[in-house]
Amino acid sequence: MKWTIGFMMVCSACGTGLLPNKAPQVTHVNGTQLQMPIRGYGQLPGAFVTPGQTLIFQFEINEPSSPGYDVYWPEPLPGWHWEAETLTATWTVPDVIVDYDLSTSMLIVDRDKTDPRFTQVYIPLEQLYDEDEFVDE
Amino acid sequence: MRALLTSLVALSACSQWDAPVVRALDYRIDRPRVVAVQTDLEQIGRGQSVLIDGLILSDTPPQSVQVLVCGFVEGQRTRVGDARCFQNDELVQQIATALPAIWTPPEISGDCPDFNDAFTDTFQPNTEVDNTAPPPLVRLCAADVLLAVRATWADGRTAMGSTHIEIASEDGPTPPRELRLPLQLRVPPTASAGDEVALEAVFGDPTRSRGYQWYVSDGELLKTGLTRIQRLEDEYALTDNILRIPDDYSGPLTVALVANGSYFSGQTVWRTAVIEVTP
Amino acid sequence: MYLTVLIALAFADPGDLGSNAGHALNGELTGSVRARGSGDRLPCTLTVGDETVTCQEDGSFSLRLAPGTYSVTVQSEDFADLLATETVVTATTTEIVYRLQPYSNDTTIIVYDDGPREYVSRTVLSADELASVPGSFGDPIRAIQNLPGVARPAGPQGDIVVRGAEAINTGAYIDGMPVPFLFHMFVGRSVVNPAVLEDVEFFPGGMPSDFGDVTQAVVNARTYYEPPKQGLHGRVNVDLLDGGFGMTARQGPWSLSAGGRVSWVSGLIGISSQIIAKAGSDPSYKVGWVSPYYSDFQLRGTRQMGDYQLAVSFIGARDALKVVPDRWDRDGDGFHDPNPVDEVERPFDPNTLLDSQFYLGEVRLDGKRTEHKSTTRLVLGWDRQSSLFSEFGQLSQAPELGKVEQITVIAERSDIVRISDTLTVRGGGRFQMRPTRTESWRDGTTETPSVVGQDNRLTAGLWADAQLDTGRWWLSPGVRLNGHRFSGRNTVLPEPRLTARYDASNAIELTAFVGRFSQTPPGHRTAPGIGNPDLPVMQAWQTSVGLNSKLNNGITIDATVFASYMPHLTVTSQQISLATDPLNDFDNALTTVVTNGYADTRGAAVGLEAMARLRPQGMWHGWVGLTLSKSFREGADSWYPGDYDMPISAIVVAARKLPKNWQLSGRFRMSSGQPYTPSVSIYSSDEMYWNAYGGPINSERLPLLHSLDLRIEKEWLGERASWTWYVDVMNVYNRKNPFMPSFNSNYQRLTREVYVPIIPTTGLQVDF
Repeated sequence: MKWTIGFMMVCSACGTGLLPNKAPQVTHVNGTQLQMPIRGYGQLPGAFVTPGQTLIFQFEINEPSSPGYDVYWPEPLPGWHWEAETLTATWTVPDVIVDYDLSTSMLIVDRDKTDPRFTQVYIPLEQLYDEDEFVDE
Repeated sequence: MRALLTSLVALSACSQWDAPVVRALDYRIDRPRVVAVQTDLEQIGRGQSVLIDGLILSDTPPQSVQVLVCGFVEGQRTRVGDARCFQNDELVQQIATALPAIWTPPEISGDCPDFNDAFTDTFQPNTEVDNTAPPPLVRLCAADVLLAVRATWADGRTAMGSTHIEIASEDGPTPPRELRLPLQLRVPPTASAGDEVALEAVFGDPTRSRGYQWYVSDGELLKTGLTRIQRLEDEYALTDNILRIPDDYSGPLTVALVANGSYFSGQTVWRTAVIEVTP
Repeated sequence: MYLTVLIALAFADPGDLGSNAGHALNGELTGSVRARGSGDRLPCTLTVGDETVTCQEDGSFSLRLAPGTYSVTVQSEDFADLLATETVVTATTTEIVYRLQPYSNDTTIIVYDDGPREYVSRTVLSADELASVPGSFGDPIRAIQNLPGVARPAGPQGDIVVRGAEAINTGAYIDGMPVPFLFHMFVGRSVVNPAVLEDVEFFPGGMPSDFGDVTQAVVNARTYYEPPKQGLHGRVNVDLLDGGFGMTARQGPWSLSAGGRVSWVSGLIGISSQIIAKAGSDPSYKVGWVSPYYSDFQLRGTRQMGDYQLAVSFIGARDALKVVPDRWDRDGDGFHDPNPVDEVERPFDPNTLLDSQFYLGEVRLDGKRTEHKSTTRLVLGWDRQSSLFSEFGQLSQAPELGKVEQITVIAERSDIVRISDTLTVRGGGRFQMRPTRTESWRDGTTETPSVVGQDNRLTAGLWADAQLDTGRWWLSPGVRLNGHRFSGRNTVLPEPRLTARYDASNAIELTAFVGRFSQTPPGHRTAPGIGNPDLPVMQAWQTSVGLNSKLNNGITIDATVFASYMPHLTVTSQQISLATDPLNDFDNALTTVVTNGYADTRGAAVGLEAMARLRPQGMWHGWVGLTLSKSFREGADSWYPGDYDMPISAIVVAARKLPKNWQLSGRFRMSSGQPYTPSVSIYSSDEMYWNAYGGPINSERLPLLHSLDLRIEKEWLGERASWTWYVDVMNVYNRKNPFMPSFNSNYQRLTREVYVPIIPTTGLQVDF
């Protein structure tokens, strides 16, 4: 952490300079302000999910500089749907969960090719297991 | 401690800062690349041979291919993970000039500390555990070196990929990784410029949920270059993607999928396919 | 009636009193005009306002003037005109010594002067030119970087790299005493407060025989031994980065000069880091920061004793780069949680990344008879440089992950004997002893350092040269015999040198030089455990041919073609090897060890420097400099570009006086980017990320480097003091000139991560 804050006089573009190109920022998710303690990285509160449940994430993104940004969902969960016009992600948890790790990440990448910045938002999700499944035999 | 001190200077950190973006979006074969290197053994026992293979992606075939090992010293245990090993030609040996390659490493010294002696006073072995059985083939008695595939093109371009391999100094074959796991890549044989085509891959191990890395000659992958399992069918895991072909593309368009072993403690496997694109 | 006269006098404007000599309320301007260097008194004329006055035969003058501020032009044949601004105070005598610069010279002597202060030696070069060069923070030593032939890398270091050599090949001196550094790192302020600085002697090459143990260039900052004015004068300056003072006092045969500086920029960085860091909603977290700290001091007492001058001096400086670590208070007890890292015993402070300091004391006796001048001196000093950077690249003043301490003892004697009007003979000897102790801190967790090395380094030099002046020709053949002892080896080298000047006409002078030089590598580069004890003495042959011309319209054009060959040069080299590493492996397997070491190689450089300068006259002054050069080093298979090989380098410096004592100045520089060693990427298949190793040395080049610096200042002249306020902005348009390569994660893109951003500063200076 200290190395991202220090060297103000020389390592300006590591996020601590006076006039760097700023990354697009996620300001709110579902109306709640998103804290981003480390520049360029944010994390939503985690959630337990059950099959059949529908999750909706509505984002507000602020891009302070042109020429805009693109949103990507690497390793998308099966059935993950992203609506670019409304900045809304929708996911209906499948009946059969095939992946034990349900966490996902959103990448917002600056279109400025000469000095691209990005923001990553991590969404921790975990399957809620029925307690009866772990009764010792 | 030294690593902590060097990381105080922002440089090494700065060079990794866009890794999530690169891993997801650097999927175009716009330069020669070695995108996978695999071995059929995780650890080579004494006297054993290992099969080495790699996936080289480029617009034209390379002029030459070298399979290199760095940090291997005959008769000596080494532990090399730093790619800068390749900067010193004296530490690099060429073991083959084509892929796939077979290598039988010479013996390394058995000067291995006893399993119990290996611990310093700080870390006491757990005396309550019964350790009278013969110890398993442990890391302490192996060399850990870097294998690399380097391809060179006539115009001077090069590409390189690497993997780790362990070489045991004691007897005992190790079970090879499952080499021939079925992986089927399904792409349409033909398409038109501007189309969105569905790509699908079927992998023979249903537990392998992540680490599917896609590469294409050109175009946009709507699910990015990194995908995960989408559904199970019988005992097979399926992942898919959507490729948007550029409006001005024509000719053969290569699609490659690498199922990366690091997520599974298993082997990396890959498949390539070609779509003939008509304007 | 008497009362009426008094009232009239009290309310009259001082200008109305006129400049009638003998008026009781007039002030007096008195003094003498002498030649710089020799101190000889000169026949001269002074032009004050509209009047021209001829000096006495002994170069002295005395003027009675009404109180006010005057432009004074001092002239003497064969010397450069001197422009000065003097303030005459009611019923006060101001005594000044003007030192004029002779025209012909093959070295550039830069005299620092800060405008209309009441003291000192000034020349046409200094008064308006260097004081206002922007981007050097009003610092004359830093201003040397604006001259052609001097590489201006993009980085924060203030090294003076000249004519394709390395930073270590420029000798840094204060009054002839070797110092490890002349600039504080990162901010680049010089270690001598400009207020006590008389001038800066800069040799880009071709040093005469009295300079030994240096292979390329010399920067010699000269401070006052004899302040030219009686009484107490000085300066205080304060800005965002630091505060400093300098003062001189002279009373009869005694004089005292003192100066110092201390930085407070670390406090500013701390505050702004707290503001910038988003600590989120966690109040138990306090962000840390990294900041520079620097300070320096100079102190001197001098007594004139007839033909002799005795001086005792102390100088010192310190540069440190410290970390204030992040702090947590998770247990909520109001105290920072202990950090297990801090509890480990170490031979060093892990929060001090860099620490360099030096202290020197000197006793010096100068004989000043015209026919025979002599200098005898004894210097004692101590310096220490420590660094925790293991792979940052070698800063020339610090070792890699270790510490070097040295004691310096110098005994020196030199004589200048004027045999006749055409022949002067010089000679001398210098003995320097430097016991050195080094520590290597690779094994950072034990109580004692892993390697300790000691060496007693000696350098001895005997030199002699003659200066023959036939009017048109000026020739100086000389020789120096240099002995070096380090790492248990002795090397003795003769160093012949020849300087020649020819006055082709009144406006054109040709110069030429050829000579040999040798230099002991810096202590930390040969220290066992840290450096390479097998390094030989560095050597170089230099030659140059030059032309200096003065056009009628106040423009001078200087051009020099230079070449140098370095049969032994110390360069940094990264070595990869296999060795056991007890820190990371407890079972004695060999692992890769990367060490940044030093090697001996050959080097060569060739180039052309040209400068067109408009001397201060009217509203404008400035210069345009251009350097075309190539420098090479010999590698294992072929020659590669040197670290500072920047084939094209240009600079424009311009300043304009504005009404009401405002001045605006600017500096624009553009040069080729520095070479760097590319990273060859290797994709790690099992880990799904990229590593890299070094490709061919210096085979790629950083982007074109350019930046603009601006400075604006305003001066208020008071009766006893002048006040100057300035705003100095470095890198006005925040150009990202990377000073070392950094890459994105797949090593496909050179990112501009590491650069010096826009740095504005504002300050206030008071001269009294």
